Amino acid sequence: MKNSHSNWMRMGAVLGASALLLGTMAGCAADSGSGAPEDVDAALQEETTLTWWTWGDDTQEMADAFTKENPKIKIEVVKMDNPDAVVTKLQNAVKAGTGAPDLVPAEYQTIPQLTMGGALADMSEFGIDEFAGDFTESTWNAMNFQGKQTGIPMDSGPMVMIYNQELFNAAGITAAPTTWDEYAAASAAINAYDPEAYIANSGDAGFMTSMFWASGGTPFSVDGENVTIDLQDAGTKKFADYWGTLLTANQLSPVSTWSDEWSKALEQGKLGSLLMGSWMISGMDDYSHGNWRVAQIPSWDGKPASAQNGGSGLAVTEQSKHKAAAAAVLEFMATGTGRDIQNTKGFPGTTAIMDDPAWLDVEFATYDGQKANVEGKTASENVIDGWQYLPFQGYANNIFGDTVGKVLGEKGDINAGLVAWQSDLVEYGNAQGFTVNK
Amino acid sequence: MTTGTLNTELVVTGRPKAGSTLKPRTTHRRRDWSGWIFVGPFMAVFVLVLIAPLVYAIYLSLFRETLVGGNSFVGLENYAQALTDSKFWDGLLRVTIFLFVQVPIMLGLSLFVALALDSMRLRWVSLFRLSIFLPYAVPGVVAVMIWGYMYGSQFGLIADLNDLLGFKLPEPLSNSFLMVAIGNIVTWEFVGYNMLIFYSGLKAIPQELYEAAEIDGAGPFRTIFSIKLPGIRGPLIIATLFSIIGSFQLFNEPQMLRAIAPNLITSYFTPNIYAFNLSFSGSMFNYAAAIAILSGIITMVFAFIAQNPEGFTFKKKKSMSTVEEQA
Repeated sequence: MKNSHSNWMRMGAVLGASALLLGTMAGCAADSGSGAPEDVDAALQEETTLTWWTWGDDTQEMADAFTKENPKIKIEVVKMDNPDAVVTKLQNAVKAGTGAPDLVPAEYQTIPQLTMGGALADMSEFGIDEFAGDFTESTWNAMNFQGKQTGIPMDSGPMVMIYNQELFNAAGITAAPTTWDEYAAASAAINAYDPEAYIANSGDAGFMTSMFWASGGTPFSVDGENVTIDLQDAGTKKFADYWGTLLTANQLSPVSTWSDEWSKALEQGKLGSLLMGSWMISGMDDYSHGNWRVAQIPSWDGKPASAQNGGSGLAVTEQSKHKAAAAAVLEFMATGTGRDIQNTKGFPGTTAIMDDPAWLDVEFATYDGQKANVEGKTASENVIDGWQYLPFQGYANNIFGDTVGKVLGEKGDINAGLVAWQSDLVEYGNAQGFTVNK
Repeated sequence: MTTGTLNTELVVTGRPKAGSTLKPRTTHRRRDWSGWIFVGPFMAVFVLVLIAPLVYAIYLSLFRETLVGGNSFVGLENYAQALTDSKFWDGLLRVTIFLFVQVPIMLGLSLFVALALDSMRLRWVSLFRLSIFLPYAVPGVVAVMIWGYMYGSQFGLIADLNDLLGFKLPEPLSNSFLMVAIGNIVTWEFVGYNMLIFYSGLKAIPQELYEAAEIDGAGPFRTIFSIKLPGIRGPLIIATLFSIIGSFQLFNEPQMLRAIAPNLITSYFTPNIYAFNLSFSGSMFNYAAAIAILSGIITMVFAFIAQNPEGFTFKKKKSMSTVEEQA
């Protein structure tokens, strides 16, 4: 008898343990206020403490600079591990109805998801639209979802190719490949020169979607609640076929981007090129001793064609009770001192700096004196128009490994993986109330 | 693994309090509520941290909130969907196989070490005991990072070994060896913990039994099988129970390895990982709650069977009485 009693208690424990996983959620609506551009100046005269979540190391510097100019506004910076952690915490706060910060950074690809989920506020009413002209079109638009301007761009990621010139030369390649055919030839040469060296790794969801973009694909299109997914459209399939030939020829490294093994591969000259956002231009110091260079990513016809890869903006949450003060921070980060700090840290998303000789002429020791920002600017001017992300891109990227990632690991048929990914996404989208492919 | 064991520990310490104080009070003589004052603090915490989340999870699981269209009551639909969800069953099958392979190996090793330490034939017993227990003190996340580095077949320890040996060792982070790699980490982490449970059980066996065995002429192996193993029956069941719960809750190790091997570890690799990804990445809190409740129930069934192994044979009544006697 005593036993059966304790079993019930244990049942409670086992279930309780599972339930703890879900213990943080509760639903209720968030406050929302309306504002006007005049409110921004008024807000600066009131003692206010703003909360600013971040994953970057430079936010504290920006916050301090803002408080120096506006002594009544204190900013509490909360650092998190990475962009995913910020999205997760923000979505939990929305679910709980409380706990969101005032200012939150967001990767461009998550803007539709966060706006649709009610996490981000429309800041147009505070007059931030006047900064539109200061930014490149693709970055400014990335902060807008269905007419809601959620904030301002911070950095941007027009894709460039950063390549190990020393390795390319040793393998007998004298010029950076400009077409995908030349890139394939370089791949074979590098692999033949050193069987442990590869021109690239097989890539993750963020990489793949950007490559589809640069290849002219538009696999995702969103119109209100109607979503169309076609991961076999011409541009997408063209790249998938191409990447598949390198994959099945064993010419792509299996290491996962950002892993320790990946870092070692870069340092030791076992990974020949990175196809990444221009923010990586300033991120190569640890891997290069002057042997790397920056160039345009290859294209089908040799003419520059690029895409955005990563990059993020600064947004204000729907839960924020100090939207006007937060709008002042947006302005500070768009055109004020904050922008100057930002533009020395990452790859800028503003137009003025791209014509600024002081910026264009910076010589990078990492690239043996190459004026690498020029390449970033060229890429920025050649980003293909018309790309859209899914309103649930974060989840889509999370389950990428189940299907496409799986075939990348098994060196299988990428197109089959894409079809399977699409079917998962269609099912999920429809279950979430969107009208997908109907 | 860690969450599972922690939560269960809570209950094990709580059980005697609740069980023994409640029963006599409610059935005998006049009602005296003063006992509640003593169990009150415990009950408050118990309700707050165990019952409330559980009830809330069940409540959540009866709804469906979507990105478009809002929240609606769907009854048991989430459960019906989960029961036919091949991803859920895939994860469940994986942890079940893991349970039947990894747990016997781990507990066997723990038992062997505990018996060796208890054999009085070793010197520096406390040094051995401490060093075998040490991995348990390493946070699970750190442990996975250490092993993740060693498993690296391109630039990690395996790569260095390959260079040294001149031939290729199997890749731990590949389809065929992934579960072995995870099982190895889990075993490394928890052998010491289980060893300690067994060892303390062995220490509690009365010395007279050994003396009697010696007088009867029992050798070391006879002593193990006739005195030591029956003597630690309780600890054996407890350790098995923890391990079963730990297996079903497998999360830390595969979740951390997902960063290194994203193409091998799916978003539904184990039921817990599935629930985690559904809720925190896919905003499917309701469905994730249903998955969590279902896997909780299944864990409970396995735990129940393990706890009453004889309960499912014909000797049911007899063995129940032995359990009572021992308790």
